[in-house]
Amino acid sequence: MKKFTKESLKSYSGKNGAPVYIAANGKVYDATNSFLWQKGKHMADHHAGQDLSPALKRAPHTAELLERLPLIGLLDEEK
Amino acid sequence: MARVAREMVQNAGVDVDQLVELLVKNAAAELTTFYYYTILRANLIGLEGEGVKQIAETARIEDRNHFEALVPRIYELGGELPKDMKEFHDMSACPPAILPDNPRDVKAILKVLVEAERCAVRGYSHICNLTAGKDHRTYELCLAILNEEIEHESWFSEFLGEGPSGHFLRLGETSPFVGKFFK
Ligand code: HEM
Repeated sequence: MKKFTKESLKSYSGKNGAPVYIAANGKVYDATNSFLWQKGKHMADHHAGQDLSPALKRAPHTAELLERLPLIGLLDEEK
Repeated sequence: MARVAREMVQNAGVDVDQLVELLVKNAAAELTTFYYYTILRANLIGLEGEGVKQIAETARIEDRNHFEALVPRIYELGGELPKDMKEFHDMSACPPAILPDNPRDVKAILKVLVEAERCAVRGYSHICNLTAGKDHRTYELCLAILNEEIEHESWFSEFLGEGPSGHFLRLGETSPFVGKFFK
């Protein structure tokens, strides 16, 4: 499975037509086709291309909803 | 815009622009749901479907009422609805409640309905959490909407047989919680 760093994830922010990748709990998901992640933004507050694990703790849902998206890689949380 | 009302919310520590964006997104979810539920309702036919039609209709009307109730609060807080309805559709806080591929599959329609309500329950719970003790008017409005959304979720979930039923169909007028915000 593809490995991402926090740095390499930044180019998948959904801006200027880039793919929309989001990371949480060490996993990277492809949200490009998600209605709720259009242009890399979710619920007025969350931006793609980064590790959103802390923000997920405040969300009205668990990581279970991320399983709706294709899992495409793992995040190396050290780098 | 209600300048002082907005100032009070801001001073209480709420990010008002973000709150307004969420309110607009949820208003979009309500109006688009009203539209998509019209199609779902029209397809609830036959022995199985007709039994579900009335709750789908009540939820549809109440979702439209939620849209009506949210709009004044959006403008009070300095927000506005997009001029372009296509943009409004696409910014919805919930995905479109699209008719299943097999429109005669009543269970599949019920699943679309219950998922739409679950999305709404999540959205309004979040707005209530953001505004509790800070923006009293938005809180009370979203709590009223949340009460109705939870009932909708329960109706559809109980029709799907997910657990014992604690609810009856709406008796009396629609929107018993939200009515005071748009009458
Ligand atoms: C304040 C924070 C958040 C709010 C209010 C929020 C709200 C929502 C809502 C209402 C839904 C639809 C749920 C449903 O269909 O029942 C949703 C879906 C989703 N959320 Fe969030 N969320 C938040 C934070 C996050 C974060 C931080 C992530 C990522 C780590 C995330 C990832 C997702 C995903 C992947 C979906 C499913 C998308 C799909 O089905 O295409 N959310 N969220």
